[in-house]
Amino acid sequence: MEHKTADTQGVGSVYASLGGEIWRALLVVAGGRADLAEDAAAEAFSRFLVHRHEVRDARAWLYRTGSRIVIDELRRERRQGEEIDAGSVDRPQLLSSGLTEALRALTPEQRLCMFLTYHMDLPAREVARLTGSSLPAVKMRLNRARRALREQLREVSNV
Amino acid sequence: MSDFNHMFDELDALRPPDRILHRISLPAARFSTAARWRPAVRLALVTAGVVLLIAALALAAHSRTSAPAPSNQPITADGLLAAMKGHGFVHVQRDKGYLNCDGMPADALKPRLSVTGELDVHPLTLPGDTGRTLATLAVVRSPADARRCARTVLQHDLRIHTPGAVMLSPTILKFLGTPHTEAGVTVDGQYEIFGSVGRIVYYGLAVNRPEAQQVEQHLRAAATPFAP
Repeated sequence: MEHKTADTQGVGSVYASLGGEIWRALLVVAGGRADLAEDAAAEAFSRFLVHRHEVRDARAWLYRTGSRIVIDELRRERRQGEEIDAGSVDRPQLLSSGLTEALRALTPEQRLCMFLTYHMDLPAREVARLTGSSLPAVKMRLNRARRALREQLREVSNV
Repeated sequence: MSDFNHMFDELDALRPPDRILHRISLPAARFSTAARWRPAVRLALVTAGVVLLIAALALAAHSRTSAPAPSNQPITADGLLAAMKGHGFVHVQRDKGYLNCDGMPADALKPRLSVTGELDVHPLTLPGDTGRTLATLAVVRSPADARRCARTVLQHDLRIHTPGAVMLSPTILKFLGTPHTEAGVTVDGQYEIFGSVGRIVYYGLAVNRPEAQQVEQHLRAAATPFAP
């Protein structure tokens, strides 16, 4: 679904139709970090408000911008040694501990590919388009993500 | 978690917080790389602004003392065109509205000079006017050009003596939403500046304060594109 907005009021309708989807995706990319997902979603839509006239496909643009914000922030936190565990943040947990643990086994890019594939039911080609990646890269991320999750499951069952 | 198809089922029950919508117009400062430089940039801008203000005041004082006395003679379109070209305004051209000024008394003219970087000439009419074309609008390339042109106009005494003739020109409305500045010469030779950068509209001097505020209100109302 492409959202071509030329008028300013279109931003409100784009948020109404895509806000929930983008926020859920960013929540997954952030590994369950609700604070980071909320900030990144607000930031992505703010940038969209500024650049809306240059944007052809709002959905893809928001996915790419939002996930890039989250990934950059996670990297920055890791560099500065302030990585925050989703389970340790002093606020209500939105995701179950099982899903949070599973996401921890994946990279942010793999989380996004898994979300689009298994939650949004999108084919790999569409995932590649929305994330701005090549089709082989998406397939490789999905393979590695599935393998990592299976290994994690095996470790849990062995314990 | 053997079935990945149900891995994210719990997300269906989650809804984004309402406050995200209200934050959309306020970008999160934590992600802005410029945020770290903001204090230094602000200090630099204030310093540059003060320097520019002092320079502008000195320039204005110099131009007032060095400008020739107003001629009070009617000016023709050719005369105005030649005067503007003489000050480097190669983009000024004659058009229908401009030619309508021919032969009119000088004190009926109200040139409006914009700084949008492209050539544009518009006829302007006064509120309550019978509809005749009173003046033209020429778009120049920079604020410096506008100031030079304003001085040119002042030197030719192209002033109107109709108090309260602050107008919302079509050009302002046309360029709302895009960064631009428009400068003009107002009643009694005052210098006015309108501008907008995105959703922020600003203006400089006007004929008088109440009318400037009124114009600003119009601009702000017209320039607010999105209210969450």
